[in-house]
Amino acid sequence: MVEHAIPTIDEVRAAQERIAGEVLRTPLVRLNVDDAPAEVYLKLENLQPVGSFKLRGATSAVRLIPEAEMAQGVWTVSAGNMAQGLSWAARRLGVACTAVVPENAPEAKLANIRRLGGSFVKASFEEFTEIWGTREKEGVEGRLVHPFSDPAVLAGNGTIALEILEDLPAVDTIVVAWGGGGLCSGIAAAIKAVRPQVKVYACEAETSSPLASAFDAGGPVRVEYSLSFVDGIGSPIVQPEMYALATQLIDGSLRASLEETAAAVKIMAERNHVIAEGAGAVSVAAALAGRAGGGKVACIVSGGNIDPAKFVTVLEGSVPAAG
Amino acid sequence: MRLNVNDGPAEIYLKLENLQPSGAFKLRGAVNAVRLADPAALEQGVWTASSGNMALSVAWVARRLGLACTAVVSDNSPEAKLNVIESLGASILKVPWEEILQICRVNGREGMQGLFLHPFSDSTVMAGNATVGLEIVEDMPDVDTVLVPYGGGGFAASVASAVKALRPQARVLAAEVESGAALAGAIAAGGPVEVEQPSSFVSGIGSPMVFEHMWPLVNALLDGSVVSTIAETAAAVKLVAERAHTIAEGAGASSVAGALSGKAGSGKIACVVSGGNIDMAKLAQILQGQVP
Repeated sequence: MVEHAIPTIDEVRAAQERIAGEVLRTPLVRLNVDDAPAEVYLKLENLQPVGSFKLRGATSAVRLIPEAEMAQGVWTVSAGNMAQGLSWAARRLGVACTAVVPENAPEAKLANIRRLGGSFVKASFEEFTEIWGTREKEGVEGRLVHPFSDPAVLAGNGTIALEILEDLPAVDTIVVAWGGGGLCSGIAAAIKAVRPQVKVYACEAETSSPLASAFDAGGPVRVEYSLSFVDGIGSPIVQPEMYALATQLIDGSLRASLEETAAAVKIMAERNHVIAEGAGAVSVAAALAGRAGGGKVACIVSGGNIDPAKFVTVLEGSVPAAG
Repeated sequence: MRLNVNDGPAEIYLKLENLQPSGAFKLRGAVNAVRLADPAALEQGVWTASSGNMALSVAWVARRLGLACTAVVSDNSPEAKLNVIESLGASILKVPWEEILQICRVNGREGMQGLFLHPFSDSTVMAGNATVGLEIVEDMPDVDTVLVPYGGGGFAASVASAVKALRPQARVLAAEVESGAALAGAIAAGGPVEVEQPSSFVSGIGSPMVFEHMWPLVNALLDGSVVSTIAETAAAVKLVAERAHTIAEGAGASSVAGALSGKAGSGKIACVVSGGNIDMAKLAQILQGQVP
C-alpha cells in the first residue's frame, strides 16, 4: 500500500497559486428549492473549461513535473473527466497525454479527449480499476498523474474548500461525490485544517457504494457493482490508501438512488439552469433527501459531462440507461 | 468564463446572468429599485407589468423582503410561467396585451397600489442592470466587444453606458434575432420602423418596433446590431449546454449566436447570457438538434 500523507493547508495554498489564472474560480450558488431540508448551495465545478473539477488537480500536478521528464508525456487512468482535465493541462504546456479509459466510457467524454488533443486506450472495467493500484499499463509510457491518489492532485482539489469558505464562511456541511476519493479527501483535508467543525460527507450512487460498505465493515470490501448513467464514480472496492484517508477525514458516506440522482439533475436544470452529470448530482440528491442534515449544506457539482441524449431522458422524468 | 470553442471567429466569453436566483439579469434592476425606494412607498407592496423575467425577479425580491407583489400579465401568457411567478408568492392580474403596452407607455395603471417597477425604462432598474457592464470590464479589462440581447432596449443601453464609461474604446453591440429585429430595422432606416415579427421559440426578446423614447438613447450608445437566425440561436443554446454545461434561453443565447457567426468581429467578445428560463421540452428538442 502506498502511504498517503494528508495534504497540509500550506500545500493546498501553494496549489492555489499554481492553478490561479488557469482554472476558473467557480461560483457557489443557492439551489432554488424552498422546501428542501437544508439551505443547499451548489459549487459549480461543471462550469470549468473541461466540465469538471479535475482540471484543478491536473494543473496542480502537471506544473510540478520537472522539465526533463515532460518530454515523455503524461498519462492517467480515468473514466473521462481526469483524462479531459489532464489533456487540457498537458496541451497548455505542449506535452503529449494518454488516457486509459474503461470500456463503458461515454462517447461524449471520448470525443472531448480527442478534441483536447489527448489520445486514449480502452481497458476492461476490471483492469481499469486494477491500474489504480498497480500504476502500470503495458504500452503506455511517461509520467502517471494518478486521478485521485497523488498528493499534488489532492492539494489541487482542496482549493475548492478554500473557495467555499470564502463565499460561505458559515457553512455547516460539505457533501462530495466519492469516486476514487481524491476530490472528497482533498476537500476534507483543507476544510478540517482551517474549520474542523465543518462536517464532510462522501456520497455514492447506491448501485456502487464501496466506501459506505467499507465504513460498515471496518475496512475495504469488494461490493457488487452495476453500470448506470452515473458513470463518473463507482468502483468495486476502495483503494486501501484512500480508505485510510477517509477514516481520518470523512464523517460518513451517504447513498443516493438512481431515481434521486436523476431527479437532482433535473431540478438543477429547471431551477438553476445548470447541467450536471450523474456523478455531479449525487451530492445534491443526498442533501435533498435530508441525509446531510440541516443548516447550510454545500454540495460539490463535480462535473457536467453528461451525454445529451441521457440528459434529455432526465428532463423527460426518466432514469437513463447505462452505457 | 471562456466558451470552449477552438474554431470560433473570436475569443468568446460568457457572462452568466442565467445563474441569478430568478434565472435572469432583471434581478439586479429589481433589487436596486426596491432598495432605493422610500420605505413608505413600499408599504403597499410592489408591482410590475410582465409575465416573464421581470415578473419573476420582482416576485423574488418582494418575497425576500416580505413585500406584497402583483404581476400584471398579458392574458395569453403561458400557464407554466404564471405558476412559477405564483410559487414565489406574487398575485397575478390578467389583462389584454394592449393594456400591458399602455402601462409601459404611461408608467402606471389606475387602481394599482404600491411601487411600480417599470420592466425596462426605470432609471433605478437600469442602473442595477448596468452593473453587468461594470463586472465585465472588471473581469476582462481588455474586452474588445460586448454583445447584449436587445429586448426593450433598457438593458442593452444600461450595459453600454457602464462599459463605455470604463472603457470607451470597447464596442457594445445589440444581439437580435430575425423574429423581431427592431433595432437593426431602425438603424437601417434612421429611426424606428415597424419590422416583421414571426413567432419563434425566442420569447424574451424581439419586438415589432423600437420604442420612440428609447431610440435616441440606444442610437447614441450602441455600435450596431447583430441579427441571428432562429436556427443559429438554437445551435447556440445547444453549444452552451454541451460545452459550458449551463442552460440559456433563446434570448440569452442570441448574443452567443451573434459572436459565433463572426458578425461581431474577432478579439475578446463578452456575450451576456441574459437568462435561462426556457421550457424544458423546448430545451430537449434543441439538444436533439431541432429548432422548436
